[in-house]
Amino acid sequence: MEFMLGNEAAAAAAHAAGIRVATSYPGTPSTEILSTMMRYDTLHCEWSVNEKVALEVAAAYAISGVPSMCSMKNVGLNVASDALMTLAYTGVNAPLLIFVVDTPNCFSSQNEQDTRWYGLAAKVPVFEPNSVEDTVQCTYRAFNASEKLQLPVLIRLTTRIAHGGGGVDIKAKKTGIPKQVFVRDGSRYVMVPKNALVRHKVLCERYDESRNHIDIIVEGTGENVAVATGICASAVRDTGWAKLVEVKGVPFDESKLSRALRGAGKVFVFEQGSPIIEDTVLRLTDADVIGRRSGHVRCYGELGLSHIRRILAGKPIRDEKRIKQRPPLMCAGCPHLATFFWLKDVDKVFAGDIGCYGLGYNYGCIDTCVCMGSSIGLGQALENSVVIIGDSTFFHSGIPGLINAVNQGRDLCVVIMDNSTTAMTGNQPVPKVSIEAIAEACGAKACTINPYSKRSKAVLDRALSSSGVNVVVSKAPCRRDVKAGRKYKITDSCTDCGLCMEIHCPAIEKGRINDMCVGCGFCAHICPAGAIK
Amino acid sequence: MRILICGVGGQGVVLLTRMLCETAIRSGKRCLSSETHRMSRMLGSVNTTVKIGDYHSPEVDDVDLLVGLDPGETRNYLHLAKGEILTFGRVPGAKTLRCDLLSPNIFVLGVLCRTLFLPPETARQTIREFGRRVDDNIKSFDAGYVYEP
Ligand code: SF4
Ligand code: SF4
Repeated sequence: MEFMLGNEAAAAAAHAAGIRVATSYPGTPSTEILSTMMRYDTLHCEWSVNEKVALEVAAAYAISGVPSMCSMKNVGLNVASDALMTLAYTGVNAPLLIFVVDTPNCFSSQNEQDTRWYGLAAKVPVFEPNSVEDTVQCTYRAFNASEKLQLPVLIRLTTRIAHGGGGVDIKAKKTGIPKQVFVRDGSRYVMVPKNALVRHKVLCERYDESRNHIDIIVEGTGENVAVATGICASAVRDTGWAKLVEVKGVPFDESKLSRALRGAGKVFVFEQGSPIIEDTVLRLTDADVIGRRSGHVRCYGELGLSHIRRILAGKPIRDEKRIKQRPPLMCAGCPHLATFFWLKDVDKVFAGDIGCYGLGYNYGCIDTCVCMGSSIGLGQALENSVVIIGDSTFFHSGIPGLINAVNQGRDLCVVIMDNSTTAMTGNQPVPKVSIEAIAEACGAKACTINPYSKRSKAVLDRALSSSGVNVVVSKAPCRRDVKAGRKYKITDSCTDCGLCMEIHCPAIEKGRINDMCVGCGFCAHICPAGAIK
Repeated sequence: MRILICGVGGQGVVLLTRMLCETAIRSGKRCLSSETHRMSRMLGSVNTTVKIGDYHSPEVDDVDLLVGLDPGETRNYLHLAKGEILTFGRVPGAKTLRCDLLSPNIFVLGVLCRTLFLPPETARQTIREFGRRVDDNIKSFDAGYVYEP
């Protein structure tokens, strides 16, 4: 028995089953799946530029006979879905596992979307483990299903499992790396309409067959049945409810579920996200069904253990006590703080994006943040706006928006906060490609500033008032990638002007600098009295 | 045993949780955990749950032991506490922890090991295998293990 996080267990089990290629774009709470995989012996692992590319790369290997996987957070699948929908048609020749982590309660994502809809839309099975330990079993099941059905398969985790921990036992079975061979077959890999229609028929047959790979587990006896999936099934077990029917994903064998529900008085349905299993249950039984459709389960938020307990006891559920959560702050000395300092008096709408600089919202300097790359898309059409986007997000999905802004003749200032890493998720590498060169090739004017320098203000002001699309690359490494320097101090010559407080560096308190100082020197540089040494 | 550990980013709540779970599993116990905040930026609220014993879900509704590395965070979860409360700083109804060693989180691991009857040598082994700041961490652990709150 070894203690692992769900994400670590997913990677370990996938590798043990024989996965030899893994791709991902980092995103909380899915990042550790690939970082764990990178510790194993594989043919290829990569942090791709975005989730769509990640899925395509993994699929190319799977089509060529190498068992592969791709991992991402829930919203990542929106980006990758274009590839998924048609990869289901082409199918694969070796297993292709797609791990997606959903975040009920929006613990670390911008929405609560339910990945199972993608499985239903693409006609690929979705496996849903109920715990860290079960993630291992589900991964093996999914691997076998993908191999037999020759389809990509989804494995849906949720935050409680991905970032949950538990004891697991993993025995590596397969060793070695299969050879990569692509066998030409236009009827399978060229999805022009006449081929696609044929492949869709094949897909429908396989999808129907996939029901046999999704288990339905019946435990105990009793008149009132709790049907549950994923982490909810574990919660039901902890309540000690007499009869549990666990559905381990979608699609499943409906006649099996129907048999398990025969004679039931009441049927409770517990699933995270949407009432997908519930709607099938409603079709299959005449019994009272307690769930989202009946109004007993909320349509939003996490369906937690305490909720499940209350619903089973016939009590209404309440929203959780709102806990005063302290928002995360940017690190002391973060270059974003310096860039924001130069922009603090700019009277524009700040179209922000996803990354550490999004935390600027906590200081009142971000006005929009919707999805990866949306800063440029929204920003070009919002009145009087400035775009704030990071390097990794720009590569991920900012470039098409930039081209569009140029093409539409917009006047727009785009500030790219380039810290040369994907900082928010733990500093994964970004492409070593010149952002300035990309911006210029897109037809924008580009320049580079050092955020810690006083000259930056004039450059930013010029870009903000110029016509056309102006890209300012504010370039300095994430503080977690540089060694901390000496600690600064506020001396007696401080005139109490308060300017340094406006940096929002967490190391600066009123009249003193605390231990968190990493010695970036920015406060000393801007102090008008020269009081910080 | 249902435990909630809370604190703020930078205090090592996640590492403490991991070491506690590893120690429990190595000593033959069943143990589950969950953490819901992983944007490891400074000073944001962090809380984790640990369940030792025959459980299936890592979630807690009540807790038998509330452990706080920050008194403000501890106060947030008092409504869940059905048993002992251990915290740094002063919180009504709680036992106060005090530690001026380098690794307060590992000090708490020591306190928890004794409270939960986990074998200290297994915990020390976990600390050694973690491999960073081993001497400081062992010292903090030992101080926690004999601490009388
Ligand atoms: S991780 Fe890097 S980019 Fe993010 S807040 Fe800290 S210093 Fe800034
Ligand atoms: S030098 Fe000033 S701005 Fe930089 S980290 Fe230290 S206190 Fe913060």
